[in-house]
Parts: sequence; C-alpha cells; structure tokens
Amino acid sequence: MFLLPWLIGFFGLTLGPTLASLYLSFTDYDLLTSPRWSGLENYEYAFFHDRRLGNALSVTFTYVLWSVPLKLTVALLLAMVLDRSVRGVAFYRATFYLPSLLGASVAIAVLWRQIFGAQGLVNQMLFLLTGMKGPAWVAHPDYALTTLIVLAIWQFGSPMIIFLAGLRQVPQDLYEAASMDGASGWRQFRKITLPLLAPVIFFNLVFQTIEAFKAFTQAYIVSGGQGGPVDSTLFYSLYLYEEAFANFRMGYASALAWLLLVIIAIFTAIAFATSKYWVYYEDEGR
Amino acid sequence: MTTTYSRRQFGGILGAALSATALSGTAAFAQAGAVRLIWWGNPERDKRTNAVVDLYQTKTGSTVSPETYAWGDYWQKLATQAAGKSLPDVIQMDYRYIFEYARRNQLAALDEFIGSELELADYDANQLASGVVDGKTYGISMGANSMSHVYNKTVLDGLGVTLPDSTSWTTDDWVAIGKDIKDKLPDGMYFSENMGILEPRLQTWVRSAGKDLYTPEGKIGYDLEDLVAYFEFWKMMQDEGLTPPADVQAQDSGKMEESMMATKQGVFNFLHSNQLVAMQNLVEDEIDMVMIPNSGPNAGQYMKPSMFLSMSETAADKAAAAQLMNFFITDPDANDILLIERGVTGDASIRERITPGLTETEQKIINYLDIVGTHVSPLPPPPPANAGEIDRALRPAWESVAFGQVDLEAAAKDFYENSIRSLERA
Amino acid sequence: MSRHKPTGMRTQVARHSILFIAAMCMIYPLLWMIMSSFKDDAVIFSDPTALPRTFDLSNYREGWTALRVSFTTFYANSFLISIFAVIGNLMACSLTAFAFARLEFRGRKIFFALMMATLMLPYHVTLVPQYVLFQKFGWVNTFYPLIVPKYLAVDAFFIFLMVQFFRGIPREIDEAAIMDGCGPWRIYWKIMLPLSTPVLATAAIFSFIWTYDDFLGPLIYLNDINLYTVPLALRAFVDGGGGQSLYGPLFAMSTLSLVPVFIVFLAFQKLIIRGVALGALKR
Repeated sequence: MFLLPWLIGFFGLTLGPTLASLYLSFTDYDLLTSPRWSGLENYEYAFFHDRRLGNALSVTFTYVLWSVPLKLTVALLLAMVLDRSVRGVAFYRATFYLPSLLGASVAIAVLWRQIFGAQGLVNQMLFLLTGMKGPAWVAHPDYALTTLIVLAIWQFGSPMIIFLAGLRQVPQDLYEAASMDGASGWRQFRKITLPLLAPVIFFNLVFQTIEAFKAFTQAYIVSGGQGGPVDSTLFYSLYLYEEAFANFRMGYASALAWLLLVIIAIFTAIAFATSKYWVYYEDEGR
Repeated sequence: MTTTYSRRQFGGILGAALSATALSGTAAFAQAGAVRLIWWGNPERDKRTNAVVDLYQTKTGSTVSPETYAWGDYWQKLATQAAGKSLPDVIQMDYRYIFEYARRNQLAALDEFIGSELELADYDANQLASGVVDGKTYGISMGANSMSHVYNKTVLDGLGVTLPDSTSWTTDDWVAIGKDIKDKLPDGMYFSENMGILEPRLQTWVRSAGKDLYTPEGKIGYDLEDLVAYFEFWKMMQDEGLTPPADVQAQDSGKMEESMMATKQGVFNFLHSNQLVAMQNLVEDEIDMVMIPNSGPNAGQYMKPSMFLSMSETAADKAAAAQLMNFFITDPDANDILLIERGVTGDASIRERITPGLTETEQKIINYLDIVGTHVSPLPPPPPANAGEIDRALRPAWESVAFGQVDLEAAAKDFYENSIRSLERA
Repeated sequence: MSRHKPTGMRTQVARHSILFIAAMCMIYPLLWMIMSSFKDDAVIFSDPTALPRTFDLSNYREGWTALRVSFTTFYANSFLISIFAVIGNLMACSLTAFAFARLEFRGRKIFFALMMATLMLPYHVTLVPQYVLFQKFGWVNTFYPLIVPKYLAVDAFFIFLMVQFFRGIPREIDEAAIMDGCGPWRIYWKIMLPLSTPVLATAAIFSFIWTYDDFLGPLIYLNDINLYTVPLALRAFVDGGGGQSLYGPLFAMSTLSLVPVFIVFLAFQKLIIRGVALGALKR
C-alpha cells in the first residue's frame, strides 16, 4: 500500500528503460538506426580489446579513493563545528554550502581555470610565498585529476547538511549525562556521536561512493568534455558518454554501464555486509 | 482532457499542479503546424537567426518553432531525438556529422526540391557539391569557409615584420620568422600556438604532401612517416620555445577565449575564416588572416562548407521545411541580417548585395576567401564513419608527446594503428 | 598569562578564525563571479582579482533579455517544476521509505536491493529508452517527464536517506501508538513525519536545488523555448565550439539564479537546525 507510488514508478518508469539498456548492451546500436543483436561482442571488446577502458577505470578508482574519505571527513568536521551555537552560525552554514549550490554550472569551469591555471590564484600565492613558478595545474596530466578531487572536496555541502540533520537527532541529554560523568570531548565523540550517527555516516559513505564512481559533470565541464590532458581525467562515465553520443556506440556504452553497475554493486554489497558490525539502528533494540 | 485524467490519478493538489503544467504544455502543442528549426551557436548567431525567423513569419504568415543549443549539448539532443524519430524539421548540420546522419537515413534527400522550393540557380556549384552524400544532396551549404592562420598584426607591425606572400610561403619561411622575432616578443608571449592536436592542421600538412586524411574508399590516406614528421615539427616548435610549454597550451580546451591568441600568449593561431569576427572581438590588437604555410609542394587548403541546412527525413511538411531553408539561403532581406556570420554565401547576387555593408573585419574574410579560392585543391573525399573518434584521439596522442610521456615515434605509431582499428570497427 | 583567561574565550576566537578563513575560501569563487558580473567581457579574463571599476548593471539588463524569451519565463518555469518536484519527492519518498523502514512485507530486501541498484546505473544509458517511453506517452515538450516521476518515488536517493533516518527513531514510540490503536497511516502521519522534520527539510533542500539546477532533463525533454528552465537558458550564453560567448551577462544571470536556491536553503536549514524533541519523547 505504502509502496504503491514506488511500485508504479519502478515498474512503469524505471524498470523498462533499465532493462532496455541491458538489452542494448548485447546489441550494436548507433542511435540513428535500429539496434542489431550482437551477443557478447560488446563485453568481449571491453574485456579484451578496449585500450582506454583500463585508464578510465584507474582514473575513476583514484578519484573515488581520494575524494570520498576526504570529502566526508571535511563534511563531518564542519557539521560538528556548525552544530554548536557559535555566533553567526547561520552565516557560516550558508557560506559552506555555497560551493555546492554552484553545482556544475559553466561558471565553475571558468573559475577552476582561473584558480588552477598557469597565471591562476594558486600560482600567484605560490610565487608570493616561495618564489616558485607553478605549472598550469588544470592542464597538466600529473595534476589535473588532483584539481578535480579538490573540486569534489570543496563541494562538501550535501553530506555536511545530512550530517547536520543527523546530529540534530542525537539526544542532547546524552551529552549532558556524559559531561557530568567527566567524559572528554573526544570520548563523547567516540562513544555517543559516532555510534548514533553511524546510520547517517553509512548513508553518506554509500551514496558518495556511488556518486563518485559515476562522476561525470564536473570533469565534463572542467576539461571541456575531453577528459584531457592525455586522458588523465577521463572518468568512466565520461568515456561512456563519449562512446554513446560522440562515437554513436550506444550498445557498447550500455555494456560499459552495466559493468560499472556490477563494480559499484560489489562495493555497496561489501559496505552493507560490514555495516552489521558498526552501524547500529535505534529500531533494532539493544 | 489531460487535466481530468491527472486529477483522477493523483488527487487534488497534484491535479491542480498538472493542469497548470498542462496549460503550458498545450501552449506548445498549439504550434503543432509550425516548422521546427534547430541550430547550435552563440548569442550573436541566435540573435540573427531569431530575427530571420521573425521576418519569415511576418512575410509568409507561417509559424516556425526555433530551438538553439550550445555545440556540445546540441549533438546529444539531436542523437536522442533521432533515436526517438522526432528530429526537428530543419537542422543545422556539420560537415562531419552530415555523413553519419545521411547514411543512416535520418536526413531527407533534397534533390526533388531543388529548382522548385529551393531556388539555387545562382548558387556556387562547388559549394553545393559539398552537401552531396553518395550522389544525393542532403545539405545546402550556408557559406564557404577555409582554414587560416590568424596573426596579431599590431604586434608584428610593432616589430617591423612584414609577412611574405602567403599564397606561396612555406613552413620554413614561417619558422624563420618565428626564430627571428622570438626574443623580441613580450614576456609570456610565444610566436604561435601549438597546433599539434588540430586535425585540420594535420590535414593541410598531409595534403601539401599530395595525400589526405582519408582515401575515397574510407581508409587512412597518409603514411605513418607523415604523422611522425608532423609530430616532430610541432615538438621542435615547442622545444625551440616558438610555441608555449605543453601545460600552458593544454589550457586551451577548444573555447575561443582560452586560445593562445585571446589570452595574449601567441602571435599566430589556427582559425576557421568565419571565426575572425568573434576572435577580433576578444583581442584588443588588430588581427588579420593569411594562408597556412605549406610543408610540401601541393596546396594544403581547400574551401569547405562552414555548416549546412538539412531536412529531417521525418519532417511532417517537407515542402514547408524546404521553403524555410530557401528563405535562409536566398532571401535578400534575411541575408541582410545574417550577413556572413555562418560563412560567405555561395549565392552570387546576395554576396554582391551584402558586401558593401560589411565591417572592416568582415571584409577581411571576404578578401581572404577570394585569395584562397584561387590557391586551393579540391574538396577531400568524405570522411568515413568513426572519423570523429579519430579526430578526438589526436588530442591525447599529441599531448602525450608534448608532455614527454611517450616516445614520439611510439605515440605516432600508436595513434596510426588505433586509427586503422577504429575504421575497421565501424 | 593566557592561563588565567577563561578557556572558553580562546576556543571561541580560534573557532571563529578557523571558520572565517574557511568561509573565505568557500566564498571567494562566488565573489569572483559576482564581481565579474559587473565587468565588461574583455576585462573579465585579463584581471582576475580586481574589483570592478564601476558597478555597471548593464550585464544584468542585457542578460535578462538576451535570448528570444526573457528570463521571467525561465524563472517561472523553473519555479513551477521545482516546487512540484519538492512536494512530490517529499510525499512519495517518505511513504516508500516508511514502508521499507517499518513495515514487514514479502520481498522487502529484494525490493530494497533493486531500489539501490537504480542508483548505480549511469543515467546516460537509460536516457534514450526513457525518452522513447515518454515520447510514447506524448509527454515530450511538456513538463510531465520532469514532474510526474517525482510523484512516483523514482529518486532512490531520497528513499534511502529517509530510511536511514526513520530507522533512527526508536520503535518503542510506534509500538506505544499501536497499543493506542493507531494504524500504519496514523503512525506515518502523526509520528514519523513530525519526528523527521530535519530529514524532510534536508530532502526538501536537495530536491529543490537539484531540480532547479537540473540541466540534462530539460535539455532532452523541452523543445520550445517558452518552456525552458534557467539552467538551459544559461547554456545559450556560451559557445563551446569556437565562437564567441557572452560571459558578462552569463555571470550576471548565474548570480541571479543563485538567489532563489539561497533563499530556499536559508529557509529550510532553520528547520533542520531546530531539530526534533526526540530526546524528550524517548525516555
């Protein structure tokens, strides 16, 4: 009964296109003519012949491994600071969320080049401080990915808000009791905040990991859609997009998408399996 | 009727919500008889194109529904619509994509309209030929175009440099000038942008050796040695300090304001002739265009269509669509608005009509194309399927050389072999 | 000497300075954009840091009407879609999340796994089949494809988010309610929703902002410029293919487009912060 809208939505709107893409992954489909069945050919190509796929995977993994933990740590720390009643806290909350409001607008692309370009802000600071001339960070194959990781961390607003909402559900009387028992701040954090926040941390971890694997827009915009220089920011989704819409290989792109789904599903399954040991839900009783 | 349906389905609030959206929905459907026109562009082009659309509506009383998107979004939208068999009626087409779309039966052959709705008697035959795919016309060129070297005239004049006759100069002449003035340029300014990643530049390079990117049979038309020589040339330019270091150059992702010329980091830049006005608007100094120096005995350049107008195979009213196309291409008043923003028209009478009213920069384009027109070789064979993929692959290939990540010959070989593989995969 | 001062003062100052520096890092790019919105195109890229020489509003005037239809229409469209999306997401997703978090039914785990899987598939490959589907409904070039799905809880993010928060509400509360004779509807309406204000506010913020910022959906489904949303219109200022872009008006309009989301954020974050009196209910 309560599931009704979701069931309609899932079977009516989501499942059809999803299955369609699964079917397309076994076809040769160029978008302009009807798909032709090609069996496992796409998967075979992906596993054995695709030279750019390996690179795309390694770029994506690097991005996930760095951006997710760092972003979540920053988000949690600031959420805890902002949870306290510092004067002007509403102002800080708003400013910290601002970068995420900008999202992936064109302005970000221009801006990022202004900051990390050859004559950008970072290099101006570097020159003032050390007298060294830095490279054009966004356009150098050794650093371009790093600037995108920085961008991801910089847009930590969403997990921060979710952490804030989570912290608001932690009963304040627990802290009061702990303070009376003489527990230190760190101890309170470990014994009260972390366990009670675990479901929210878990949520952010799972969701941010999924999103990071699928990362597309920022890289698309900052690199002008090319994943350059020298494919150093060729994210998996960017490569998939290029295959689908620029090279007219929607069939192959669908196969790539399903491979990514399997990869993400494995990671998510691991997260859910281990969550038993560290995520504690109020509704499970003690 | 949509309203009651949604009310029953979703209840009060939602029903009201949807009927509000349904209103705007029906507003859109009310234009069902309109001819849908789609183009990619920029604010300047949009303004002109919209003005022509308005003019057409007042002149003929028929309605047009215009849509415009930025280049990158355009092709995604178009491909999705093609998949849904709902392409707009009149489509601005690119030279690269016209083969993809025409050969996959998405575009209507225009031959039956030529002579009736499409009045092209006055139109340059060579330009018309560029819209022919496998013997049928699928696009009408909206203007002629050619590649060029654009240069900062103010800077060169300041150094007292006069360029030799560009119809006969060679890359050696060009490099010699560069070496001559390299040390006299302001700090941070280089002789030229590095053009290693630019496929059109590679094309002029191999064409001047008497070859081309592709053979008429759709195979690679040049040899590995040509590519190695091309990479070696641009590596030399970079090593000599005539072009910027790799990371500075790589900041140019293809947007004009990121180009070395616009950021005052290069005297020379590669440019298509119809882009001169836009580039001049970005640069305070005066700029001008010359032909690309040849590296071999043959003429490397050719006249190419800047873009086409094509018609969708699924267009509801093909005659009406053809009339709209004709208006853009042959109507004098329309062309008073369009001028040469999309390239120089192939219609002789219109060209005569609009030329006197052009700005100085626009006149430069006309003059340039007049010169180029007498020193070009014929249009290359149409690019095979997957040529777009090879075009994009040139960028990482050259950059891996520029950044010194890979041995030059290995990178060239890799790109060459991957190109062959791409063509086989099509 | 500091030893004698109350430590509260020192931590306050430290906390404020950290926050302030961090806030400046966060806000610098935005300031840059606002400053640029007052500048001439030629100046924007040549002097990256300086303040504008004059507060010239011409970019705003020019930008508002630069396209065939003025931004008034785009804003109206964006608001319409976003507001209905928020309502839809809150209603449908909270219902679904309640079912997953509290009700026992067959196949719950499988359904939940399926729902999670829909999060993992890159959207580019479902785009075309979805377009074809909506086209069969005759919904292309209307707002339906952008609104109706929200009422059918297709966004698994919000469901998953709410499930996590609902599970943070102790079960004793609804057990007590069941004893009092409440059915699941009443528990959902009278207990779960009021106790979940922070997460509902969070969902409302995200729902609004993401719908408002969404570019791909409008790009694919809307053809008529009278139906365009703000992000779609903003893209028309930039030429990615080597022509000339209008950056001044772009930044002016981008700055303006931030105002509504900022207001929504400020309004709803209060709800998050106010929190719930969960502790009082609990023991």
